Amino acid sequence: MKLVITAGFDGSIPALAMCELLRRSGHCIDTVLVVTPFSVKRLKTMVRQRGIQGLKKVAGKLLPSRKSGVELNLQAQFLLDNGIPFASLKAWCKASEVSYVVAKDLNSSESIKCLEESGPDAVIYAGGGILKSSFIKAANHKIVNNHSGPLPEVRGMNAVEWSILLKHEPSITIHMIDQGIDTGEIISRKRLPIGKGETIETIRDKAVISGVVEIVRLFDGLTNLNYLKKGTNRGSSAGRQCYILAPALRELLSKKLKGRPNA
Amino acid sequence: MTLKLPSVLRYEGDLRASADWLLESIKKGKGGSCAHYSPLMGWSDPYPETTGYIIPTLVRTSEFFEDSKYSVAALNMGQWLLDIQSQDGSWHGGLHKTKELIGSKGSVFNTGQILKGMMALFHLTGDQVFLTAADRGASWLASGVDVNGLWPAGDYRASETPSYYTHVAWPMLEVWKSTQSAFQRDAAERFLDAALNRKLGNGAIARWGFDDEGSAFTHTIAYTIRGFQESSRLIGDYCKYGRPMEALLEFFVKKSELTNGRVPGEFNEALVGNKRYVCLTGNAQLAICVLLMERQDPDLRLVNAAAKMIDFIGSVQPSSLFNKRIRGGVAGSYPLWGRYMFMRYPNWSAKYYCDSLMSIVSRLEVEE
Repeated sequence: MKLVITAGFDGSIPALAMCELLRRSGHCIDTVLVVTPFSVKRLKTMVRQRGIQGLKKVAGKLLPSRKSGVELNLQAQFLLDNGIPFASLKAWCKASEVSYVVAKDLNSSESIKCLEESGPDAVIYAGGGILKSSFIKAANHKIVNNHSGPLPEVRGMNAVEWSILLKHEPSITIHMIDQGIDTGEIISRKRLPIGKGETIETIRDKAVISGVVEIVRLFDGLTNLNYLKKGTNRGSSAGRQCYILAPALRELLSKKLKGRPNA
Repeated sequence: MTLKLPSVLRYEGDLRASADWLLESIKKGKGGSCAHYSPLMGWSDPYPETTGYIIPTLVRTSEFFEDSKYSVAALNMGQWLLDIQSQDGSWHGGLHKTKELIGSKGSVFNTGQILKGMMALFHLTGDQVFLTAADRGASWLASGVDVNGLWPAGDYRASETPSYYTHVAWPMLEVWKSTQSAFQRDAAERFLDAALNRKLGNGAIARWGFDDEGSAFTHTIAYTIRGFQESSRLIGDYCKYGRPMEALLEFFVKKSELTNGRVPGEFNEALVGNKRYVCLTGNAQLAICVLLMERQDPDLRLVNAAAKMIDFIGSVQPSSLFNKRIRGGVAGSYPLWGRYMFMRYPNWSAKYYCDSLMSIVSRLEVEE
């Protein structure tokens, strides 16, 4: 299949892993569409949603983290385990001769033009902000996403954390993107085992890796998305949306995790 | 002993500072609590209305910290309010200026808020003097409600009784719980029904502000919602007045989440907000309303939204050691020069901040 993969920033490990693993399984990655992480609009949204402290935290993640001597996180370890030697999407695109496009916003005219020119069989969403109808339309409604929580129960942000707080079984859900927030058709749901002593960070990493593996598995040998969507469930916007955890709730979650028995 | 969450420790610190600031406002208030502190003008005269509803806050704070200094202050204020009650059972409006009291007429809204203080002290002490005063006040209020369920006289700025007077019906029902006076309950419900009829398609309630037209501060919006919620609780029928507020509260939950607790200070009836400032007392009041809704159907997502509104107040609360008069106070607006209570620290901002802190700490303790 001819694919376009989006990313929220150049160092996105899940996007990088998906690019390489899908390429290895015979798919054609036509374009990697990367959003500039530090556009004024994005910074303003981050400050509004997370405050200055949250912004610092996000900035820390966006900056290169795989320095020598620093313990590798699970995502970086996943790249190593799969023999993916690239540090950025730009480097991967250059080595794989794939078009690398940087846009201020996935919904911008430049991004939509790029998508229309590419005409992919499917878009795999691996970050870049909320998609508007113009992008969804340009992608012919064929956008696949990995959501780090069980849908339709846990929609929105910090889904791993909310799954635990709301007493749902931590899971990942592969689904189609529509105009709602995590309300599109559900393709598959996979349980996420959580061990004793896990932290929010390790569980999030696990959810991301699990999503990459699941998407690659679902796309294995696939020639079009219709087969993937056959017999699937509809998503729902009935439940309350989840947002970024307030500090008190984050602390409560950490406390709950510490007292959690082995999965 | 379980370790407290860092946020709970922070909330308790803020609560102590704000409650102590309220004690300071009482010390300067010649019996009541000063309405506000202004960095330019200093402390104002005492304000009977807010003195009344600060009483239950101090009683609760006293229990929270197991420290009697707050309930002692509450009792002293209660005595002062008894002393200034009018013959007809009402209390006058505005600030308490002894020279201007002759001939001043009773205020519906202020009398309603003072009833809360009287009832809190009755429950605390069992002393009938507080219930008798509350009963007289509630009966005065009930006698003023006309056939349409409105108070024709005694309003603040609007030509017709504003919808935030649900915050008067609530204490009337609080009194009814103890007196079982059908006269008081019927009058309160007549107004609540009339106000509920003003509910618009988008969930907003018409005439919920100080004025007939224009935007309402989140302060009076939250008054309106809370009045309905508490009235529902008192009559034991959540569906009647509490449930109809849920869609509106969901709107504010989303606003809190999308702005990280920086909820616009005012909204018009089309629910378009003015983002230029935050009405801090409104933020605290809305957080309380959200937590009240959450009691009906527990969901930590609601607690999250409330926490963000409360955290925002904490993040802008002055903690300056250089000016002890504002330490623990909560400004009317953020920034200080916002439209609501321009350049002042009202005592009701601190009161609602204290209430919201105690509510969220209690909720988090249940979860722990």
